[in-house]
Amino acid sequence: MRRMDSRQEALIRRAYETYGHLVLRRCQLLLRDPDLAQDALQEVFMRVFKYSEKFKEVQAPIAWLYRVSTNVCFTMLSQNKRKKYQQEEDALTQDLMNSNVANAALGEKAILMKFLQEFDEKTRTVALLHLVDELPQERIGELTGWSRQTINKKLKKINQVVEAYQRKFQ
Amino acid sequence: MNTQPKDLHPALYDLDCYSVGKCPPVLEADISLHLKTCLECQNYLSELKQSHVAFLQKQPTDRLIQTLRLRKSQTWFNLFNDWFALSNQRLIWATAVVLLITGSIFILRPFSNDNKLEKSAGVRLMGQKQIENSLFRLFLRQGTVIQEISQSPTVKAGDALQINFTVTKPQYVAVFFLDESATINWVIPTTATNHAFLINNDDMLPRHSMVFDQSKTTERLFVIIRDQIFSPIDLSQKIINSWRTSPHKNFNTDDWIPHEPGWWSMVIYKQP
Repeated sequence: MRRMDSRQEALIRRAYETYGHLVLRRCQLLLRDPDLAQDALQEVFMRVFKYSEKFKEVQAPIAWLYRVSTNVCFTMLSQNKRKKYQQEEDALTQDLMNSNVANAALGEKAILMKFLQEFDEKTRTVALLHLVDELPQERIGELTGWSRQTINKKLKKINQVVEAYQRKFQ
Repeated sequence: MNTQPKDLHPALYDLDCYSVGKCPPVLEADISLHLKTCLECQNYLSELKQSHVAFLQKQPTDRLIQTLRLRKSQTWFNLFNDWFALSNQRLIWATAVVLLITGSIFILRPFSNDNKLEKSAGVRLMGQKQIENSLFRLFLRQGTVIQEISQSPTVKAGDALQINFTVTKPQYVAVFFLDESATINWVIPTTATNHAFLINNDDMLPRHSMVFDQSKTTERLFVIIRDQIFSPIDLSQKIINSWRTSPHKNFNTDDWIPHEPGWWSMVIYKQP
């Protein structure tokens, strides 16, 4: 990896000061651990530095950063933090079983978070953009560059998982 | 209290973009309009703005830059570590390379640094000609055997010769080979020049070895050391002229070599 020059530093500063809090929120949402989220935040900006040329050209920087954050968080989870995450997921499952979730959307989001780790990268991205960021299918297509058919397929898969889980506990 | 249906709210992603002024222009007007009447979205946006301010206070940019710099500097170290950690096979290869390099250094050591040997051997002049304020020693490597030579050696292709100087005050030096066809191969300086090489101390001398090629022609090694600057080209030309005009034409004898201060010569025989 090359040395950080002044232009790259300026780019990172600008990106961090504008989007840093959003990235941190996203990492906290995915990791539910403030310390891990801090690590993830650094890692995301490490990637901004690494791909600074690409980042400069990106049309939707927030979507790009969210996607990188998702990848970073799930990489962290799949490495040595998996066990801890699993314990928390078990607690979440218990909460879901015990609670009366009035808001169906909230229920979907919570269930989705449990299964995110089991999805492939594309499905995970679509799931987050759809259920967390509340973006319609066309906007997801615009931001990811994926076809309507691909996004449809992914959303179908997500719905199947969520519905199956809901049926199990209702 | 917000009473609008959920579907009429902007997407949270768009509100995120709006909060940092990066919303697509087509949506910006709609969101601004929506915000005038939607308390829920106003609250969300206000919460985002507060978290933005708190974030910048708690986690200044300088700290991130410092951390990134630190992590970047560790990256090469980690890469190096990872490379070794990857497999035992790589470790074996790395060990082999280290041993090979160490072995090569050990074999070539007498050719690269003879200061210790020089001091223990004491002062000694080579050949019949004494050169003021300096002395030099010749070493010949044949295969893995290295020996100091004091009289004309017989060499073959691949053998290497090194000359080491000890000077008591700054000296100008020229070293070259001359063969019977009056061809010159320059050693010090490495090309034909009008300026001899100045050595202030031993360490300043180029320490490359002279490796012999397949040529079977007998050669003469000339070493010229003077405390005054001289032109190596002029001196070599003088020697060439002397050889060409020599009546006896016996390259192996010294009688054709002009008597000049500060030079020395030795015949190098080639193995048939």
